Amino acid sequence: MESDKRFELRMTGSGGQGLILASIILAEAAMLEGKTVTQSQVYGAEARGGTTKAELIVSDRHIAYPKVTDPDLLAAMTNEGLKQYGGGISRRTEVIIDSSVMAIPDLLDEENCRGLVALPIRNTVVARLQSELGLNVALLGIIQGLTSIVRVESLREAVAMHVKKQFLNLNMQALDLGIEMVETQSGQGIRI
Amino acid sequence: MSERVVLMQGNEAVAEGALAAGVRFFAGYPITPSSEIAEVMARRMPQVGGTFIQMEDEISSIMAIIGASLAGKKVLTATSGPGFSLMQEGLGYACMIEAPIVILESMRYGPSTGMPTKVSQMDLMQTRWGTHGDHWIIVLSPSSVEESYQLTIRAVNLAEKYRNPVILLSDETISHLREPIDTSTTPTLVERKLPVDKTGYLPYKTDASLIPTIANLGTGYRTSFTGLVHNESGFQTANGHVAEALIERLRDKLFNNLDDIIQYESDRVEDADIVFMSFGITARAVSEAVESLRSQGRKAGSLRFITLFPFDDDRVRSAAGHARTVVVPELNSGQLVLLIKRVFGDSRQIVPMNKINGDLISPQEILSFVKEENL
Repeated sequence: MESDKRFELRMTGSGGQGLILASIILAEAAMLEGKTVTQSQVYGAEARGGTTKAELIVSDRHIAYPKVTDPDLLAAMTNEGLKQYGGGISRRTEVIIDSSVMAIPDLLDEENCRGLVALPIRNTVVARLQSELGLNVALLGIIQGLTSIVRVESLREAVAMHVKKQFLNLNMQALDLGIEMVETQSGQGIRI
Repeated sequence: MSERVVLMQGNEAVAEGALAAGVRFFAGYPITPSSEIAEVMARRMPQVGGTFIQMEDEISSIMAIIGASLAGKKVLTATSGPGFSLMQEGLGYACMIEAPIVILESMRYGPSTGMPTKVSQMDLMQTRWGTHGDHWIIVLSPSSVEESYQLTIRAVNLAEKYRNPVILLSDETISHLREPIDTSTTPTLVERKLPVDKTGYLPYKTDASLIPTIANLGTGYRTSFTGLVHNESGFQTANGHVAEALIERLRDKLFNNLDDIIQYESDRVEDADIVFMSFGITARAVSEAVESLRSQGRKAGSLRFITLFPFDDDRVRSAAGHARTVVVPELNSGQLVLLIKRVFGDSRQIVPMNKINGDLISPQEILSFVKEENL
C-alpha cells in the first residue's frame, strides 16, 4: 500500500467466475478492520458470460471519487478480460494473470507495470479442490498473500458472510490455497 | 466501525431508506439500472405488511402509486429514463391533484433505450420539464450510497409535507455502487395533514401554508380528484381566476418554503477564484479535483446541488462566493449549465464541461480541463 493508505484493485475475467462477489467479500473484510471502501463493477447486457470488471478501493480516509483510476493491483483471469480492461495500468500496478488460461502477454513489461505475477490459478484450484467453484476466493487468497491488504482472519469472516454453508469448507480451502500459491509457487511463477 | 455500518448497494439503500421512511406500497416495472430496487422491494414489502406489485409498464406503475397514495400509503416507484418518459402523464396528474409520490429515476445513457448499463446525467431537465404545463416538482440528487438512503427518507417526508411529487435523481453509477452506510439512526418521519371534521370539508381549501388537507380515500369524506382545473371542492372549472389561483398556489406552496426544501453542499467557495457547480456522481470527481487544486495552491471551491429543483437563482448567487470562473461539469451536453448561465448572465465566466461517452468525468480530467482551458 502507498503512504496515503489507499489501495485500488481491479479484477477482470469472465461472467460467472465470481469476481464481483470476490470484490464484495474483500470489501466486507476491509470494513471489518474499520476501513472505508467503494466497490463497483461494469455490467454487460448478458445475464452470465461476457467479460466482467470488478473494482474496489480500500482506504483509511473518505473516498471521494469512487472508481479505480490508478490500480495498485490488476488481476486478469481471462485473456479477453486483460485485453478489454488491462489498459489504465501504470508503473505502480502489480499485475496478476492466470497462466492456466493465457500466455504471458506481450503488452506488459517493466515500463508499464510494477511487476507481473503469473500463476496457474485455475489449474491449481481444479487439481487440488476438484472444483472450479473456489476460483474467486483462491484469487482473494493470492491478493492477501501479495498485499496483506487485510488480515486472513478478516477474509475468513467475510467469506463466511457470503458463501452458502455447504460451500464454506471448499471456499476456506480455496482461500488457503491462494495464500499457499503465493508462498510456495511465486518462486516458480514468472515475475518481470 | 459500528455494528450498524453495512455494505450496501445504492439501489438497496433507496429501498431500505424507503422502508425506514414508512413506504408501504411499491409498484414498478423493473428497468436497468434501477431493477434491484424492485427486487429488494418484492422481498421486503411483504415482511413489513406492505404491498409490492410488478405492473405491466411504467404508466400503470405511476398510476398505481398515485392511487395507493390517495388511499393513505407512503409510496415509491423506481425507474430509468425510458420508463420515466412513460410516467410523464401520471407525473403531471400527481402535481395537479397534489398526490404525495416519490419516483426514483436512475439515469442511464439516452435518448431512447440508449445504453442501458452506461451512466449519464442526461435526464436533469426531464425531471423538471418532462410533463406538460406549468408545474413544480421537487428533485433531490444523491451522490453516494449513504445519501441515497438519507435522501429517500427526505423525499418521502417532503412529498407528504407538501403533497407534491418528489423525484430522486440518481444514476447508474450510484445505483450500482457499494459503500458502507450507517442505518442506525431512527429517522424523523413526516405525516401528511388530514382533516378532523367533515363539517364544511373542502379537499382543496388551504390555510396560510397553501397545502391542502385532503382526506385519504375510503375514510368517509367526499373527495374528488381530477387533472382538470378544479376549485376548492375538487370539481372541475374553466374559470380563469380559479385556474390562475390554483397554479400560483401549486408554485407558492413550495416557493414559500425554499429554506426547508433547498440544500447545497459547499466547499471552500468563500475565497475561491474558481468554483465547480455539479450534482450527483460528478460532484465526487469535483471534490477530489478541488482537493488537488488546493494542494497546488489554487483557490478552488465547489457547490454541489443536493436539491436540484426548486432552483432558486438568488440562493445560488449568494452561495457561489466571488469566483470569477464557474465550471459546470456534467454527463450530458449542457443542462445544469443553462441554469447557471441564467443566474450569472455575463457577470462571470461560465464554462461548461461535458462528457457524453457513457463514462464518468474523472478528477484527472477536471484537472486537465482547467489546465488546457487556462481557467
